[in-house]
Amino acid sequence: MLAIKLILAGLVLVLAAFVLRRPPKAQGGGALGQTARAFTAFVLGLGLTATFIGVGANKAQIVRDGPFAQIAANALQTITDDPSPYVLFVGASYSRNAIDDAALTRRLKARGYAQRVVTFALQGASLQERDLRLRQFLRAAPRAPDTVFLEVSERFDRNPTYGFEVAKFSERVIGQFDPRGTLWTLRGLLNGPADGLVSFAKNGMLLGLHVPLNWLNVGLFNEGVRLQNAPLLASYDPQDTPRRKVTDHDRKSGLRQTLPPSDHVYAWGEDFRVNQRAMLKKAGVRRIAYYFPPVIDAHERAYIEAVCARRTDQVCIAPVDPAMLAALDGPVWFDEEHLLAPGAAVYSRWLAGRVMASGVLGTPEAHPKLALRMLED
Amino acid sequence: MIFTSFTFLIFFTIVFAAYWLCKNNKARLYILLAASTLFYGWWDWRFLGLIGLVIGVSWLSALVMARPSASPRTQNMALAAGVIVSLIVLGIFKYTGFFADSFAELFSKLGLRADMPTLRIILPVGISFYIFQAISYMADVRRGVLAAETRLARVALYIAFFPQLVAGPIVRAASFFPQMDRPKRLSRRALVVGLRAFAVGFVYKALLADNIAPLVDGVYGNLDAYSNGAVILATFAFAAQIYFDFAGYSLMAIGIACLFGYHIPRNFNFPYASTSITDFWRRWHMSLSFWLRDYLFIPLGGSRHGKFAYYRNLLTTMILGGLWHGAAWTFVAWGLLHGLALVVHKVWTTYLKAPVASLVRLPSILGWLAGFALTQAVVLAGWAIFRAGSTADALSALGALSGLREGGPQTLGLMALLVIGVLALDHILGVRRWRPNWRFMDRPELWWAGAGAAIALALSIYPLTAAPFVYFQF
Repeated sequence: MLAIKLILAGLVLVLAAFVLRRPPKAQGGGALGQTARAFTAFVLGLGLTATFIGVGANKAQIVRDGPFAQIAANALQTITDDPSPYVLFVGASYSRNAIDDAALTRRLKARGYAQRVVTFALQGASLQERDLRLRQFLRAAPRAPDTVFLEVSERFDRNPTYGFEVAKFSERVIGQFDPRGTLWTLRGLLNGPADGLVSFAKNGMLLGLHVPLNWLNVGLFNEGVRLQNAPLLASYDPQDTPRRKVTDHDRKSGLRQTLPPSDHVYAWGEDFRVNQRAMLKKAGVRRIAYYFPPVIDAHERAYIEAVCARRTDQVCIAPVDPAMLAALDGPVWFDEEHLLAPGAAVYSRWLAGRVMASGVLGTPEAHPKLALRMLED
Repeated sequence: MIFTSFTFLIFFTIVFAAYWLCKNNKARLYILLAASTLFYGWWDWRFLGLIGLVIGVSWLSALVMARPSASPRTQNMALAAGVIVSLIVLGIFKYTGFFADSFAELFSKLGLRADMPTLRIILPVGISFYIFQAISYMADVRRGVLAAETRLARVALYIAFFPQLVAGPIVRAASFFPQMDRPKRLSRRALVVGLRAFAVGFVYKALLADNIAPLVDGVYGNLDAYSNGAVILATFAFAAQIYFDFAGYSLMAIGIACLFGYHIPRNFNFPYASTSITDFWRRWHMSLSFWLRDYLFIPLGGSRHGKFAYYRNLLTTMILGGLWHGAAWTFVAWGLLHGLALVVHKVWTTYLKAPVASLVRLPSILGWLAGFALTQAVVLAGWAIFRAGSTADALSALGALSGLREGGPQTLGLMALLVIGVLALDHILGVRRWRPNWRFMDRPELWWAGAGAAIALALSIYPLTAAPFVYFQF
């Protein structure tokens, strides 16, 4: 990467040496015509070079570095080291703290399933960011995942511009606004649940500023890295000590409360999922399913139930099992929305059972490699 | 507020617009002063009082010296008072911890227990630079080079002018004050010159220095783990990093000042093209070299009292110059190395060069090459000491440079050689003043397309998190 940066810097120096003379005088045409020609030439020079750099970086699988790229690199390493079919759990912090992929894998293997589970989640990752990293991962992966479980949550469905709440003008947020990310954010802004005109205008303006920064590849090579060469970071992030104290009363009343499924599901989130499903199928993913880790707030759980209710033909695992929630009624909460490691163990165990029961992974014997291994055994 | 950050670009745009929209020269001065106050306060508003104190003392000291009734003795005392207060401020904020630690270490080595107060005082950014400017103002008034300024705001703007406030170039009062009165006009030429200097400085700092830094930090952060070759390469890389960083900052400062109608002298003149250490100091951090010469070396006696005093003054100046860079023994050693090299060079040119030349007739290119190689070797050894985090690290780095230490297992990729390539390219193009003159590019459309392409390339390596300049710590 240093070589690329230095070569580019050398090129800039040479171009600067030329360009930083006075611009040559234009001949012919009126002042307006000359200005228009100069402007067009400038935009073309800028645009073509930026597009060329963007396409080149994409081909070379150079991505913006950061925790999510490192998690993707770790997932790549895991599936390269282990040629088993694999299942990806893609989500945000809810999943990062709740899904112990090693424990899940052990449970599946113990029941004869060949699949390895890989958690692919990061704090504050908007739907667009997860989608971007998933696409980058799929491009670099030697084989497509057997099954992809996609986290669904009310928070991210409600806010198509969640990225701006995390870190405006950062590498992480600028990176999200590739053409697909931009399109979906724009759709979210226009059709989504905007919080009033001020929020609409503010987020629209932020989108207008971030899109050119992405298109112009601002900072891409400075923090960029080939996905395969990024430092490795495990996605599962077990927590030992609570971040915020959850009172017994809040926990008990929240976990014991049962609500009917919400009567409202955000259309933007649903449209996004339909589109993402098509994208994943095209990338060779065999099965797509949905889930959400447990939270104390019953309204959020009810939202997932509503999403799942619309997916009668797909696997969707909502965290509404009273027995599982009762098992989490103890000091296992990092805060109201995230689990500590003991809570993650409870949930991972329960999730493994649900995943197997759903049939989304097929039957253990259905995998030729496993059958072969069983024969060998 | 780093020059390469978005925040600065917004700040600059607002100040630039306000400055040129205002037609009154006096009001413009206050706009620059307000901008400079905001710029400095952005780092830490608490230190505005400190710079205010230095400004006030300089202003008062010069006023006392300029009184018609002031005798030479009074003038000297006013100058001494102003300089001492400034140096005390510098001493307290920059050197207290260093001297306390050094004395404690010395006493413990002598077997004595010393309960020195361990003070950890925050170093106000740019203090070394604005103190030197303040001293320059007072000394110039005392010498009669400059009339004392009665208006405090003008002294404040000279000392706190934001383009060069935190890391120079150190501007002489005699050159700055007349510029405040000159009518300002934003000419096309000033715009081109200012933007060019800023753009080249930006490329130096943001695209080159900041990208080279991780390579250097990696090796110098763990010297024992790296092979001698890797340390040598990293020292070359540091030579490039500090040059691109500091020369980049200076160029941006010059460019910004130019866009406000002020001229700031250049600070670097392709120093790695030097063929002697004296030549190096005429090309590296020129504003500091000339400041040290005029306000330290000459007042110490310069070359007026015989050869021994001359060499002693040279050594003293360079050691103090080293200490000015930072409160650590490594900087003192760096200054000492350069001082010794300067003395050796003076002895060579005064006593040895002519006799040796009459005995051995060598082609001039060989002499040039020998001078170049020796100079760069000294400079490189100096950078190894300068970059090392401690005396032990400095010795380890020098061991690697001389091949006297064993070295660790880790190496650097050959790609690191590109750093030297870029530095060489910069110097060759710069020294030869090469400007491409491609006929086919004479079409204005191609010029504009080239400008667009250059911007697109630069943006792709632009660091979103601006790294502070190396010299800010001094």
